[in-house]
Amino acid sequence: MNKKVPRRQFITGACKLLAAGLAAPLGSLVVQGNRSLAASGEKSWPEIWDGKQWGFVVDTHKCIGCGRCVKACKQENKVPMDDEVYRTWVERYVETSDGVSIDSPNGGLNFPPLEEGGEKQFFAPKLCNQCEKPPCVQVCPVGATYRTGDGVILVDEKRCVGCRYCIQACPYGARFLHPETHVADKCTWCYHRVLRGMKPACVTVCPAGARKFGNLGDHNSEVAEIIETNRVRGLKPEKGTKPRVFYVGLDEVVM
Amino acid sequence: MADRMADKKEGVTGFFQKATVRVGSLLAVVLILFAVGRAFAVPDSFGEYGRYRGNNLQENADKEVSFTKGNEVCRDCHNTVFQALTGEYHNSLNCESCHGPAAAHVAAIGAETDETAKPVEIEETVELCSACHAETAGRSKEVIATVQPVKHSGGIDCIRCHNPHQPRTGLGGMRQ
Repeated sequence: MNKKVPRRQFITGACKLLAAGLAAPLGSLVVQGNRSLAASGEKSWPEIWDGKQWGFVVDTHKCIGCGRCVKACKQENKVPMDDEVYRTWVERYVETSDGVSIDSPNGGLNFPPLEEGGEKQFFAPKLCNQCEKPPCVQVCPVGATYRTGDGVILVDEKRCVGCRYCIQACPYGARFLHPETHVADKCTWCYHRVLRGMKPACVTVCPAGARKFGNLGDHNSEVAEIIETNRVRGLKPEKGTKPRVFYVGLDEVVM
Repeated sequence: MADRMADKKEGVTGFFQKATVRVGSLLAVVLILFAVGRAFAVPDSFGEYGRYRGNNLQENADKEVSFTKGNEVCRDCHNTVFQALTGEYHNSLNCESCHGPAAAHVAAIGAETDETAKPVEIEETVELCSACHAETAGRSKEVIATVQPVKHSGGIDCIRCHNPHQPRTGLGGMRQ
């Protein structure tokens, strides 16, 4: 029973077994990583992304709170109209001597007429900031949300398990659980439209020109020009998320 | 001494009967099972561009559009409306801001369906016009002309006096 094994044999034997055991899974990892699937259409994704960094500008001076963006967004992205979940919404800020009141009835889709005004009052449209450092992507346990090469955060509806971790992680409240699919949903800047050369639905329908969308990588684009020639700020810079939605003329009370 | 010699002789064969072997092979089996399990659990194209399913990019890209690219699409057929709009306040607006999503309407052109004949949906005009033109907190008069619909007209349909495509020139409209 107690036969002794020389130390050298023990060590070399154990090493060999370990090496053999590791080789199999490591080999499969390498194969997995290199597996190349049929690229989309003629262009590969890195080619599609090349030179593009999408950006969004909101001009709060121009917004009239009509809520066309909220409605169009729901229609374009098949978010149920009657459920209180929004990929984009409009907040109303009314400042009086008593403080600031913020409301967004029905996501700002139809602000009721003739509300009591204040000393300072304005609208602030909100949407996903498509952060350069997205906390939602960081926390997803299954890799169901990710940042594309051109800077848009997408959700993989088939992969998402609906754990809601990303909803909690988003400092901007931009995510929600879709009431029909029961997976995480969020603004994608209408990525399916952008790839077809269209603008996001909210930008398309905004009658006031308060929403602008374009390529930050192109210095001649409208959004790049606005950012370079105006004072702009992103929301919650202290979170370190580096938002890609830039606000022109945004009051300091808006966070 | 003889015992030690015997031990040494059996050294090699003995080695493979030892605990080392059992632990080692168990480890190997665990790792192989992990590799096999992982191959089944990790979906196709995962990790192609990052820690996500590369195929999902195309799935997102393939989603249907509801709104068209813009007014240039509408102009092909509805040019007379664009002529009426020339120089009007509403000239800068997108057709679909009021008329709603029209991609299905456009896609149906030439198809053997009733969709082409179907006008793009329009809401109650008081409600629709009020979205922009009703007085409410936060809506600045400097940016947009606003009224109190009930005071302004008793809340009747705006379209009875105003032509939305020529809001300034319609009967009862603000004459210039």
